[in-house]
Amino acid sequence: MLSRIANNIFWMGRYIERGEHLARYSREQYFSTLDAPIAINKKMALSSILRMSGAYDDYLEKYKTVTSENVFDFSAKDPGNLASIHSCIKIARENARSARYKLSAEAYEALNKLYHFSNKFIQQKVPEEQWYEYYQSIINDTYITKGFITNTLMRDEVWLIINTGVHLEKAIQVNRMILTKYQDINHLDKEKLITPVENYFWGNLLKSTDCLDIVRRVYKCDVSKDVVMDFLVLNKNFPKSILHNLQSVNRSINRLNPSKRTNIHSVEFFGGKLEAQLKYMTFDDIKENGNPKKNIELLKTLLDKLYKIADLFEKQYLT
Amino acid sequence: MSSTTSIKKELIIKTDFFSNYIQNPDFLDEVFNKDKSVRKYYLKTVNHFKHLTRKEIAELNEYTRMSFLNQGITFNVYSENKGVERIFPFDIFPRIIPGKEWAGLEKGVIQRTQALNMLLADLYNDQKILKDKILPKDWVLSSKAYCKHMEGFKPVGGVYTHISGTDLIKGKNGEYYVLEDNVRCPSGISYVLSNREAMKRTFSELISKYDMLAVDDYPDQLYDKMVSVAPPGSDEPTCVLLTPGIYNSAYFEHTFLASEMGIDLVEGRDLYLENGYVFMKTIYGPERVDVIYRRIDDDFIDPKYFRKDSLLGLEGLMDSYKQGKVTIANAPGTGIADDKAVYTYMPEIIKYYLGEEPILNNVHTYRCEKDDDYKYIMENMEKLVVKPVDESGGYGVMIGSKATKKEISNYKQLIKSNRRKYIAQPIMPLSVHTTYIDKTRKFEQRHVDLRIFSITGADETYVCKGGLSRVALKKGSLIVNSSQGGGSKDTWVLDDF
Repeated sequence: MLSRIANNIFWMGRYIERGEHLARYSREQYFSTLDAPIAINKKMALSSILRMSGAYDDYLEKYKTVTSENVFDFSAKDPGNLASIHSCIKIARENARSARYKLSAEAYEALNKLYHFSNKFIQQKVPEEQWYEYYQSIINDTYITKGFITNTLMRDEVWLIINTGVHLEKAIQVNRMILTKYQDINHLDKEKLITPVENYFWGNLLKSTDCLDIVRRVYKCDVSKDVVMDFLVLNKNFPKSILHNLQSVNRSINRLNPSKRTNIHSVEFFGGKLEAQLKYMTFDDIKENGNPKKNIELLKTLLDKLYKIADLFEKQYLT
Repeated sequence: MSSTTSIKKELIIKTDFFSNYIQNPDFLDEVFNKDKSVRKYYLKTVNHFKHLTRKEIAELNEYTRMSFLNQGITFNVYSENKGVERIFPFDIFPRIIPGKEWAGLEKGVIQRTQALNMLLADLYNDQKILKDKILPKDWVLSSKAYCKHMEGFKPVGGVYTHISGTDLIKGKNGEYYVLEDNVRCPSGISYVLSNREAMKRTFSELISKYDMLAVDDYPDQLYDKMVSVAPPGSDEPTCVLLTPGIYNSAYFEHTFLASEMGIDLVEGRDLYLENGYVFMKTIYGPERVDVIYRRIDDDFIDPKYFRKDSLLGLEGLMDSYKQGKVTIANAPGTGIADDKAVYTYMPEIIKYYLGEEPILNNVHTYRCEKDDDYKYIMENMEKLVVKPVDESGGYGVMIGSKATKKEISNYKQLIKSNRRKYIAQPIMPLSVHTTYIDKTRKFEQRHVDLRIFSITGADETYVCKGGLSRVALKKGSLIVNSSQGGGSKDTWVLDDF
């Protein structure tokens, strides 16, 4: 396969995933504020969306104040914001267009439909009552697109590269979400930070990753930040946890490398090493023990390493 | 009581379609005879539409439109913003060609393609046709389309134009006329295949009533013909399709053909030269390329020989080509054969190389550079279509009967300043065809033409048994190009008529 096309489908996978996570995170941020504890204000929830997608500074350059309407416009459908949901879908689809002769007609059609759906909203005002439906449609259509990718493509290098992009981005997005939650909590006045308030944050994060019910089933206790870290970072079997996705990334990359010859500078080696580190971490290692800075550092380092996998992969296969 | 009324209404709506159909006596209607009876091979189709309600037809039309948009069967228009895509409007009423009529068309297309390939081989080598003064030497050699870099070179199998598109119209007398030959990078075949697919999805019942020939063997044929002209010595040649990229107006077609043939769709930046051979960069390292089906104009394929500012091609590609290390389809320099001025000599060219009478008619053409013709053109512009010889896509064309006095006088100035550039033809009465018009929700007459696609390999020429019937959707318009408001129809060639 051409390196340029490999590059296209890798980024297609990443942007499909990025758009979906942003839609889910935004949906939860908006709709959980409706019955949130008093200390949580709407502005904080809205700012969190901007911080998660890395668009906070760009937003403040365009708008003076944080209002729900502006945040929706900017983070969901603004083509000028490269981190908006629409931009993610548009870039995913542009990449797919370049590579469409390597995709199945069904997979391309599903993504193209998603694009036309998103494109429809650029010119029109979307009233607040329709936001939930908008986010949900984006999420559903993304699932449909990924369903077609999974069910219509050969398990050849095309699929392996898309898979690498999708799982790597999922790990990155989940990592960013947890980090953003830590930052949100940091922004809160210390005296307001009582247990129900903190639990609200972590419950909200679990909803953003579609797993509040599962966590309750697995841990049979109240949701605490230690449980959240253990589940979202270290769980091997949950499809959105970082370790699970890292394992999928490594499996795909190793199948892509037919010679199996690797060296310590290769992406195979680096990814394998990171996977081993996470695999042998325990609940005790990841507990906060009264020191939130420790976990913030851990997440930041982990995020850097995930980005490094992307870098190494691009250098080795996509250029 | 009320239900009887509604049934009556329904009947009126159903038959309304064709009873109010207005026939212009100046043109040949492909579907209806002069006495308003339906031509026999269209009977089943007309009956099928008669049994649908206005609402059903509108829905079917919208359904196919959305299906094209969602599948991304679209084209880009150069003058518009990047990324703006339009659907090539598709008309649900098919064009039908009886098998007997088609047999003549197919023979004629093969004859023309053969003659054009022989002409190119001659022009770039011995130039006998110039020496024998069949074609005027000075203007062939001075034409922009004549490619000096091709002199003395013969491609594998002697094939210059592998992929050809022949544009025809049907005149009032029921005869076909060739309007032009397209032997550079003719496009439109993807719509032929997609239109058939759309018709199968929407009108399966109607299709099953006809015995028609398939069009979907085109990609296989194209691949086989490409392999047949690979440089000698390449056992399993690697063929690629070279595209200018996703913003090109025909990008959908490029990606469609690459996907149908299972070959790579490359851009210039994917390619490089080593030891004179062409390689592409893949995830597992370099891979040699043997045949390039290029969908980039001559001007852009190699900045070393053509336009220096081109970023689309590959520097040094012509060197590799002339050393016989890679095949380019179509060959550079084919443009001289479909030059609108050379077209006017086609009957003589066919006789010269094949010793045969031309099977397909040419439209009589006046050449501005000939003094008699020039005088006639200047005096009769309102009766003529005048066009520049070196433009395609319908650009720069003036239809005398539709132009204002001022436009005509401006055009005369243009011709005066460069007589070699212009030719004129009588305004041909393009046949009309029943076409569904969205706005009026009715079937109306619209002008149509027909592009037939053929592929020539080392041994033979294949003709795709169908074609692109382009339809001018604007009332009264004769311009069928997609960039200027044209649409298209599925075209059925029948086995049993």
